[in-house]
Amino acid sequence: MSKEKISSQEIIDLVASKLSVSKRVAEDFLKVMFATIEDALVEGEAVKIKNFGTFKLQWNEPRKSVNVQTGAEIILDGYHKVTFTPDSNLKDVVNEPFAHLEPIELDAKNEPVKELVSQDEAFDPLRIFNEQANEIKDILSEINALSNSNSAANQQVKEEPSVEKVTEIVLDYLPDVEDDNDEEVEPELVEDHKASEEVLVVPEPQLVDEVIVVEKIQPKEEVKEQEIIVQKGEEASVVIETPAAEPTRKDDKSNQFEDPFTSQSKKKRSWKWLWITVLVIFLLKTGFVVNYYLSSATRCWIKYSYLSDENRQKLDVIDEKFVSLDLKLAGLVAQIESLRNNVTTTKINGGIYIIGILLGALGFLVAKFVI
Amino acid sequence: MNHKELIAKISTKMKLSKQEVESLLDATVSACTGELGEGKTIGVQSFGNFEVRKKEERLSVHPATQVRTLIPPKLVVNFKQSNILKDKLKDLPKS
Repeated sequence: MSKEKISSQEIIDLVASKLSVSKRVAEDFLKVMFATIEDALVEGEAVKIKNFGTFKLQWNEPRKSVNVQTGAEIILDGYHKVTFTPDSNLKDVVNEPFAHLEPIELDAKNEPVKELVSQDEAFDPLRIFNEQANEIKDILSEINALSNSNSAANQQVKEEPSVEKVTEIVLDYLPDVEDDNDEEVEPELVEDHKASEEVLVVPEPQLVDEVIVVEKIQPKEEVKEQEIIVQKGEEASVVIETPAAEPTRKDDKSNQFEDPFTSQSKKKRSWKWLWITVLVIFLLKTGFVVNYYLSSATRCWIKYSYLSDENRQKLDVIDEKFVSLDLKLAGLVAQIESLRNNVTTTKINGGIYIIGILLGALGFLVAKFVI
Repeated sequence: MNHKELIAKISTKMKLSKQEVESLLDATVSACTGELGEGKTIGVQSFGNFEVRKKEERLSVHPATQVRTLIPPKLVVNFKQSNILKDKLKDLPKS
């Protein structure tokens, strides 16, 4: 930006040349104009000039300051200041070099907020789990109030997270199940197994063994939190069912025994099948690759080790013939393509001819009718 | 005092028609605008200086939403009154 300063004289020259008036008139006018503005300002009025701006008076309060050299405090008197607010037109004209720039919103502040939200979402499963746990606790307290016999079963669910305790309790009250009503439990158990498509048919005496299996498997699951959560979700669903079907308490218990076990075995099976399929695919692939490479390799090997010179030459001749056949085939294909192109063009030509003939016939008919 | 009042006052003072004054005023304004647009400083004797200043780019933060905005640099017209005008205004009552 050039800091060139021009005086009112140059403005006068400009105005004079623009309106073709004498410089004297222009000078007088400029002086009178600023004098008028001054007068208006002295009277306390704001002056507005179209396309230029507004002159206003502003009262600046007296303020304290410090003399830099002596360090003494001095009071600066209040004074009137003329402020000039440029009109939008003048603003635009002056700001033309930077007119293309626009304010940019920086969203750097928003991103951390989003991250926080995502973290909250990540914690959501835990929250849901907590809610479920609370529900389970409520239901358990209700059931406790109803009967003492149910309390043993409920304790099991309550203390499920610590797997060792759970298994202990299960082992503790298993004899009770057997003592109470053996005949009732047995058919129900079988039905449950069928429903869940388990091939295992478990007779009553083996129940203890099954629980021990559960005990053995569950410690492995402790490592993976997610699986435990899944397990607990299942348990929660089971427990929610309990108040509705309280008389058939044994049924629920058998479900409890079964659920962890079935889920585990199913998982194991799926993994097994996956591994088998992967292995089969890998074997097939390797077989194919080996076959592909061996065929050409054996051919070369036989050609250069077992065959006599005559036979080798014969083989070479055969190979050459194959190559020439290939070339001929390519030529034929090219010919066929060219023929096809010709056919299409002739078709178009034929179409044009037919249209021409039809038009001619039409014209003939029209002429006949007119005459 | 607006544009029309200013023209009326000047015309009475200079004994010119309002149309003449208006054309003169327009010419003056356009001349001043053109000179300021080229970045020049206009000094009017005993009145003040019209100067073009560059406002540097800055970072503004919205107090409520905390959205940071980059304000680009811009050129603005600045008026600085002369000391003569300041002295004339000294006699005014404090408002």
